[in-house]
Amino acid sequence: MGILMEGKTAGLGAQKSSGKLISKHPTMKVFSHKKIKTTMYLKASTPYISALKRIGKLLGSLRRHGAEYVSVLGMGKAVEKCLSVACHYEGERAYRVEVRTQSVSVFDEIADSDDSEIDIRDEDRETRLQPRNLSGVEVRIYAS
Amino acid sequence: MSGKKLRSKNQIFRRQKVHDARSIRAEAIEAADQASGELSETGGVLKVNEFLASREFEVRQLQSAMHKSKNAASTRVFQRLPRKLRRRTASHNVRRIPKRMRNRALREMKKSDQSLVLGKLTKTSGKTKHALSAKQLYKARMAVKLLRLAAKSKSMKLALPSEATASHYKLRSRIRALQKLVKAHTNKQSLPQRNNAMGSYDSTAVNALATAPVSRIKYAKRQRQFVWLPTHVWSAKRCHMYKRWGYHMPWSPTQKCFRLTHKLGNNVAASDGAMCCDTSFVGTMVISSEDAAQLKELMSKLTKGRACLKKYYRSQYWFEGLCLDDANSYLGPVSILWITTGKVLLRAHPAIYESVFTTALRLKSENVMVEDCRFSIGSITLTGSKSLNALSQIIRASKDSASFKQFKQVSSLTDITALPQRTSFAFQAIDPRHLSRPKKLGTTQKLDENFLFAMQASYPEEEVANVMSALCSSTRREASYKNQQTLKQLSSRRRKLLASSNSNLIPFDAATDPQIPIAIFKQRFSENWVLLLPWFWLLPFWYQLNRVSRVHPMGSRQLQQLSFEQGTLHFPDDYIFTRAGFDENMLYKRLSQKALWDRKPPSKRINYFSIPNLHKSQPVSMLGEIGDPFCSDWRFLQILRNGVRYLRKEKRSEFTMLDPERTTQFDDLNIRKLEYVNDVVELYFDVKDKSPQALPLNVIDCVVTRYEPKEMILDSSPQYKVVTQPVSVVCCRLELLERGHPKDNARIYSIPEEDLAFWHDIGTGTFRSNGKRDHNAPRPLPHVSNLIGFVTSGTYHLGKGKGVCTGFIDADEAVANVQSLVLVRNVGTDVYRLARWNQILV
Repeated sequence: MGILMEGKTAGLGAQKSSGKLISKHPTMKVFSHKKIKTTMYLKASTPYISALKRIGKLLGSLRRHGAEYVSVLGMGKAVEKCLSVACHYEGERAYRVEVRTQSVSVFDEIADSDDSEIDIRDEDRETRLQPRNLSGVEVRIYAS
Repeated sequence: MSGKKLRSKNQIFRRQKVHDARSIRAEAIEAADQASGELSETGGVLKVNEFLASREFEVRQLQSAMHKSKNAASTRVFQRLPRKLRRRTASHNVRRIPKRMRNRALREMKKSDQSLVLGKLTKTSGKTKHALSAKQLYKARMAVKLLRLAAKSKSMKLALPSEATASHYKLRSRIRALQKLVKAHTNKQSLPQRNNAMGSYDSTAVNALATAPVSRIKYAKRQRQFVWLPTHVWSAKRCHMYKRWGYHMPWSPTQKCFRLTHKLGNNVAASDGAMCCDTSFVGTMVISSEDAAQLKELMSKLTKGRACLKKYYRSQYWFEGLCLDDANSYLGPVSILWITTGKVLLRAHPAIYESVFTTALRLKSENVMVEDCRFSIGSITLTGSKSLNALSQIIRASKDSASFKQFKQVSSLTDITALPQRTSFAFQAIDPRHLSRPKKLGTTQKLDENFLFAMQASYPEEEVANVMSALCSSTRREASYKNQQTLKQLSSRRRKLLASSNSNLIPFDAATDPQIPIAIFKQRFSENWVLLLPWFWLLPFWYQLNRVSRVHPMGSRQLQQLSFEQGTLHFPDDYIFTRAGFDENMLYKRLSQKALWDRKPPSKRINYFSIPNLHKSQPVSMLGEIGDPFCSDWRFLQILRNGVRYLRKEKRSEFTMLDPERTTQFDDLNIRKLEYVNDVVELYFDVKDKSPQALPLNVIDCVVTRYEPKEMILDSSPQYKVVTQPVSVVCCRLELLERGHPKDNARIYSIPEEDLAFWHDIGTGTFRSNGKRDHNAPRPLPHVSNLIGFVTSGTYHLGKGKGVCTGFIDADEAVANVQSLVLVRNVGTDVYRLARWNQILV
């Protein structure tokens, strides 16, 4: 019901096992006010300037949240953008920047290949979770 | 004598304060010239660094002055409160101000010579409002006796003053009134028998519609037509309310919250709070049967077989989908949950609840029982990253429970989409008022990827089914109200507890304290959590929930906003292919929009009936907006699209408006001949007021690429066919590719063949010589016959940063429209905006 068809299922990445990929889950984030106010998640589609402006705002309110750095996280395709943001803050703005690589595990929802019900919508198929590991970077920008 | 009023010392002080705050320090060029030396000694060259430093100083000063003057203006303490805590009466009633600020408020009131109002103190002890206390009853009885005695005894009469006669003081009527009072309060028989002091009870009806719950007598009269939700009194103070579909519901909080809803309500990483809404108006019915096959058949009929698929029937996933009536037309969206194979819970919007209920009654076989639990099961809908966290701060399980353990673990997660599709919790909870305030649950083990697997593998199916059965059974809900305690009883328990220990969590006593069956479900498509619980338990949970920090209330408006931002349809506004949605648009909204327009003086409103330059050529009798300007005129779309298809079939041009040489032709039966587009429009005017019963459109429920346009079969007269045959539409989401701010009821056009290249350029961007995008180039107009649909809801999308709208377009045109480009025009304007559409599968 109410599914936006934006070719979501069409161009999804490599599939490990049989069964149709229904959706990709985001990473698991734990609720913490401080983290929310000092973390920025970058997508490959995030505009570069928007990211810089946003990080600038986060840097400005670091002290209020009792944090030392803003962490900028990106995985997969967004790694490059993340690193170019890091370069900007290190080279142009002379901030202390730390880059850490990490491996992120996420889940894919795979439709069970059950032959009993063939002619049904994807949303009516039962799914199982399948883990997938991705490489990502964390860029820590310290308030100088 | 001058006319000026003398100012008090305090007023002068305040004026000076504001004046000081507003003055901005600046470095005068001459002063700076000597001090910092902005200019070189000859005065001909500017020293850039010094100059910049000086300007920076000034900008800082300006900013700080703005900040200071804002603070200085807020002179009174209640103006310093966050908006959420401000109250209308706070300016003159100190009891409306938080205790920690009262002293200062009193000082300020004294200073400004304001008369002190202390407001009414609510009495915490002694009499209650509506019943006589034992003391009062005794006094009333004694008064009767004394009055009687005084009337009888001669010696006593003599002792009284001469004017004190029985008739003078209306003695008889007073005795009568007092006796009535005594009688009313001694007759225990008339009071209903309840198992709790709060007066809570379960109002469920089997195979019939339930009656509204009896509330306090004082408010009963106001609820005859529109039932109050459990949280009504709370919401009415904070929200604009509206009356629809038999309920009195919160529409939107009085405090503006468009951005807040966008920031908190969506599942985004930046959300750090939650929005909650009392959705008890969404009706719940429980359908059960001894014979599982019969029940399955009924549910299959209601949902075209979807709700009976293995995923929902066996694995008990929460089903969200469309419900159909016995004539196979869509009623609207419902949620369905199989509790066991013999029992199912169905939730429907109040606009369609009664029709779903009666359809179920009509379709069911004899052994099937349909219980109306509208007024016995309440619900709260939560959205935002803190939803589960907030719930975990107020809910405690009454006994050891596997489901509660899972809930406890998951409660630290922010993102609802990171959880598996079937995420549900159901357990017996204790009264939330046992906690003195919301309290964080202790942190449990760290969440990792194995946790989700473990959670799915060890899903406590049996426990969830047990608790859900309790929630869906009238007797067990009734039992959950047993010994429901009043606040007074609870606080006396708390007082006793505090005397002996430091904790103020009232310990749960399994023998006497009530256990409440509650359930929390993830709604996958709406991306929110729904909490189901017995009707009269909702309010205590609601009070506690709203005490959690960064939890905000919301109303129906915000639910609509969120579903718009998520790109899903909102019932009933976007469901125009259902009767309820169609009437909402064509009757309710149209009439209210028209009334608004009629109220304005002609000079202050758009004249919809004469707008130049709308199309390449305009029909003779529609010189302005096409179709009804106050709604999306689906009847017009039906006739126009069918007319265009007929013209194409007859090999006539769909773009020629009329023959300037001749007027409309009529055939032998005096029926209008359809030869030009103008004839089709005239046909619309012929039948406009005779609206037939059937809906003018049907929606296609498959992917548009799989849809095959059907030929128009002309077995009867073409005019009849054009007017009666429904037009197939596709539900779609449109994103504007350039500027523009689409509004509800905007018109959607296909791009004429000859202008395709021009609009393609607009899509990729036409630029002026200075490199900026050209938004003002003259644009070619489409034809009237290019109209292919309407927008049901549209506005600026804060997440996308551009105009976005939801609408429906003709399916035949959608198939032909390979580039997915259309034009969108707001009602009453002549500006066309390019948009790209994507199908929304209903």
